[in-house]
Amino acid sequence: MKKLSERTISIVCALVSVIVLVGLWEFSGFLGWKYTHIFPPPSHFLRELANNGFRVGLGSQASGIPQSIASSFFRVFTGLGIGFVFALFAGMAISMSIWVKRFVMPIVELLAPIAPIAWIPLALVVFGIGNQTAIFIVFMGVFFMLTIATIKAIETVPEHLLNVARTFGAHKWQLWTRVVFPYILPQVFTILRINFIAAWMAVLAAEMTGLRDGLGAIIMNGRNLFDNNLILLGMSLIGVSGFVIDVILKYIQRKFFWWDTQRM
Amino acid sequence: MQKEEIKNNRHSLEGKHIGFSREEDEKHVLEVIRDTSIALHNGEFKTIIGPSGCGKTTLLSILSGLLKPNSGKVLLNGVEVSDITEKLGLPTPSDIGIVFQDYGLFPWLTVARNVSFGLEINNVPKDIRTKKVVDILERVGLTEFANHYPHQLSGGMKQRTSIARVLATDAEFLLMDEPFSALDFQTRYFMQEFLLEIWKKFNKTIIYVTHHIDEALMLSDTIYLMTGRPGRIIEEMKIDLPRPRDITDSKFSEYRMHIAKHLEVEVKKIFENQKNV
Repeated sequence: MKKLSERTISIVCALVSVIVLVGLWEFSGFLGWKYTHIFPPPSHFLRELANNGFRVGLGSQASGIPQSIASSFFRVFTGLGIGFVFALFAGMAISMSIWVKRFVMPIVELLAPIAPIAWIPLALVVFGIGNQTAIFIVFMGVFFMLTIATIKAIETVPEHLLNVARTFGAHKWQLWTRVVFPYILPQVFTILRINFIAAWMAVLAAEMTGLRDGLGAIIMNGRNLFDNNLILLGMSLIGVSGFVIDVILKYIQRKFFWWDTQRM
Repeated sequence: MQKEEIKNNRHSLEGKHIGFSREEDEKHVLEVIRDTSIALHNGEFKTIIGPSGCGKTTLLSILSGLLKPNSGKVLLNGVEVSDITEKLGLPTPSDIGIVFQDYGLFPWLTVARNVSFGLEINNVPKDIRTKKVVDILERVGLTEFANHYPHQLSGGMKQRTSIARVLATDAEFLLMDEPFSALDFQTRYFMQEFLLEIWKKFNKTIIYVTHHIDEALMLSDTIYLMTGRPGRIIEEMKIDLPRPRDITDSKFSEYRMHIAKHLEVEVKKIFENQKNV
């Protein structure tokens, strides 16, 4: 018999574990556990959903589930993307001069710990109810951390690699594009992945407090309608979507930012 | 115009009365190199040997233009290197290539892209670049590794790649800073043969830094003996042996004894200085 790879074993175990959990959940519903109306099992809320034609909400405000997922994904990826690019340039600008660093770094470090959720009220006033607010929240959730990570990563670029480029006649700008950025990208992207969770939570919170669509809004709808089927549906979708996004980010890292500069 | 003039002269790289100090902190200034002169003419293979920490690497950095000496000057074909680099706005003249001990390969580029790095920096058109890289890779025996990444290569292969990268730019002077010291004994031996082959085939001028006596004797026409810090060249030995060289040759042993004695004296001095501190 062929030996199973570590990866296959992990995937099989993960599937078994999820199936058992959902099975117990369903079984408790089947037995008529008294909390079933609070924790309706998947068969309940999925049936409910199918009856409504996979739409959530009332009348003209109702929106399709795929559309909700799409809006949340769009917000998260746009915010992460803009945050990543801006942080790289901000990190570069701040690292260019020791004086800029001395003056600007304290401000970045003061702003970084402000939870992205805390920006929601201000963002709603400035951008109104819409995608801009959500994207702004995600952006704030990752930008400062990534800027700090970029600056720290730039400090780790080994002098000898820069010297190699210099001896081949690289100009200052070429040192950035050919050595510094490629060197730091994997490190900064790892920090992005770690910070994604914070951004993800922020976007859901924004959808729950202000925006009318997205995964967070499904839960809010459920709450307003006293419909626990909707709430559980929303929670399940959030769990699965977050997992899928992390898989996508991991894939991007493996595909585009795979080199390990710590082990050269 | 100026290039034409230079072509007519005999190519040379000279360090004249180089002195270099480094500020350790506010109060201490460390004298690294004291009044050292060195001259390199085309086709030569010269080696600098000395105890560790004697400023060999610093001297190479100064010759390449990466570091500016505190006193003395570096001349490339009779023109001061700092003038050339200032005029071009570049840290080192394109006639000088450096091979580093730790390879200095970019982990995110394939062997072929690493080799073409210098050409890309200098905006050499893509078709010329590709042709050149294919040619160089073939001549250094790396063709089948063209699409490998550095982490997939052995130490010897990595250093081959970094030598190929310098060869691709047509730099005439190769400054090599202990390029094989991280390699195991066997690989080191093959790499020395490889380097001699390259030296002849590509008609390069090499200045080589090592603390390995046999390596210096296997490779060079001339060996410079350097003292401990502050580093100074105190002897220029012409190595009068036919190539390929034979370690068992009696004259080879004589040279070896002479260098070993020099190193012993210098290392002893370093230890005594440390005791006094």
